[in-house]
Amino acid sequence: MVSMQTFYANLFSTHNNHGSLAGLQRIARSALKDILAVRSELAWDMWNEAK
Amino acid sequence: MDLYQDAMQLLLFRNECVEWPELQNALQRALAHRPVAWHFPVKACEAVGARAQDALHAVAAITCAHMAIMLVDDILDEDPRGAYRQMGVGKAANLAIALNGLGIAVLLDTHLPNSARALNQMILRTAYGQDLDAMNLNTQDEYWAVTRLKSSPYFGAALFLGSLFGGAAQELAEEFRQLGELYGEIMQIHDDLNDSLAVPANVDWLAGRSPLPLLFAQIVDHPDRPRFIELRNKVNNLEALKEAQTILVRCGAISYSVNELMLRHAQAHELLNQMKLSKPESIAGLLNESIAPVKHLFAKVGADFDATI
Repeated sequence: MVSMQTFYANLFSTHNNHGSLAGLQRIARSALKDILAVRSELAWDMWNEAK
Repeated sequence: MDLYQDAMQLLLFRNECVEWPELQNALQRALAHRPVAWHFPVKACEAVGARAQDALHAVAAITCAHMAIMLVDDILDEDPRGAYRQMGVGKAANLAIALNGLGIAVLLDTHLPNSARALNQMILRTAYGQDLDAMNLNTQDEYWAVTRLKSSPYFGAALFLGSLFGGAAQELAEEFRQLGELYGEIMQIHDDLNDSLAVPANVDWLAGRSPLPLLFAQIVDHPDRPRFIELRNKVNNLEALKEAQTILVRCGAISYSVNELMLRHAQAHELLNQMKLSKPESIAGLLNESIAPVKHLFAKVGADFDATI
């Protein structure tokens, strides 16, 4: 398992910008409003679905 | 045919329910509120080439377990929507015990009485996970340990039992359990992303709990960390919440959570490809649904999800 600190270092390394990391870097550089805009789809209140 | 309704009728007509109106009422309410993953036993059953109705008892059993988990979870979380608010904590706790017993009884009365062992194991592990979760543990290792205990066993047991009633050999059923447990971790990460990005602030912020993105922002050494720690107790203020959530995005906490989700999705697919199934598409569909929000997020930020595979 990659530690959070290692992931952070890789994410913001200028040498890594390929594959999945490129997409994850874009997420980190996005505006909050863009992330919140898709939250309704991300939303998945797993344990509370039965209420 | 609606297998869920059939499973509920199976429960409602048992003697234990007929003679206990409150237990019957709880099950009546569940008729209209299906638990998450109630259909997982059906999918596993079909994946091994059996008929959907062969999963009937597994559906009934995991429905009981889910109801019991929810009753107790709401008490632990002091959730204002919880049934304990109407019936009282004692009655809710007692009903949870009854539902766990009922689920086990349903399985003991089948041609596979040993299947009750799997449900029992799931209940025990989940209870331990709930207990640990209530302690607000705050390291990366603790987070994953709690997730594997609290969230994974339910999904693991749902697929395990479904495959078993579909005629799967023990080894294959164990692979279904592993797959379900990975799915449980995926669901927990989804839930944590959802809670961290809620507006107004989800109760986790102020209750000292650490969903995955918040844990990342608190643990990792990044420039905004001191400010984030300062803000997390002030998020009742919407401006403070907005600033804290902006830090979650900027420090990579959301990216980390999405990455962990993608890793588990890939592991689950790899496991599925190794399993010898009559209808693997039955399970592949569940996995595809779980990654759909991530694909949407990638598209929103202009990234190519397919390039990650």
